[in-house]
Amino acid sequence: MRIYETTFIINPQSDDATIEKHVGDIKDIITNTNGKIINENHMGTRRLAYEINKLTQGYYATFLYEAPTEVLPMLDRHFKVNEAYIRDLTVRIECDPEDYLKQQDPFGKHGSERRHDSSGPNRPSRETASDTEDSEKAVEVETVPEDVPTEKTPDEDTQKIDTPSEDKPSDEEL
Amino acid sequence: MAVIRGKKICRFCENKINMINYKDERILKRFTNERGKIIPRRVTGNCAMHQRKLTTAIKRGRVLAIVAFEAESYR
Ligand SMILES: [Zn+2]
Repeated sequence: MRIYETTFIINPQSDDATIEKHVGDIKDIITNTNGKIINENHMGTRRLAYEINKLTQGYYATFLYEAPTEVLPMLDRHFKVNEAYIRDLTVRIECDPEDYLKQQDPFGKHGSERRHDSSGPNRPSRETASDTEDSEKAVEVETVPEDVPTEKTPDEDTQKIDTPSEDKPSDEEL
Repeated sequence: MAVIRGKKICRFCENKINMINYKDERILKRFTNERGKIIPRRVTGNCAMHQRKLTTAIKRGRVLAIVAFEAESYR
């Protein structure tokens, strides 16, 4: 048994029930192969950084799970034959999944609205800065509000930890 | 804010971040320039280990269309 994280993008141009079914299918494949879902996150519809199959948006979902390696070709086949999935990526997680989740905040506040946690208590909420230093700091770095271009950061603290790309990236580059 | 040369600290080390989330658009964007290229660590001051992790994260993020591969017009 190994720990994997599979993230995939579904064509958002179908009704919610269909999308949920596509997400559920992935879950079923994992559980039917003796896999165990550790965390489930529906990030919802997001803008794609580039067009895929003429689409500009996609519905994102991700599963963190423990499963035997046989699950990988099964998922692969499912992603391949079903055109609803426009992208998928599976990575192996080599560290403790709890630690892994602690350092995650997929899509920040945006994602939390549509989050369906199978194991809610695992995620420290952004407000309750837990006593583990790591997660506390991780939240700190991510205080830039979503969809705000990185040029302007209202928060002073954030600016300190920001890259030079903030103010004068081109000067450095040219 | 300009980088003070010779006094760069790795921001990931500083904040004790071990893993870099490839689904976090903000982190990935912060370390790529407007053309989508990964900013070299001589500019950002990242340590080798974190730059390596960051590079992996950015490349994964590109696969998932969280960040662009290159040179798209700035949105
Ligand atoms: Zn470092």
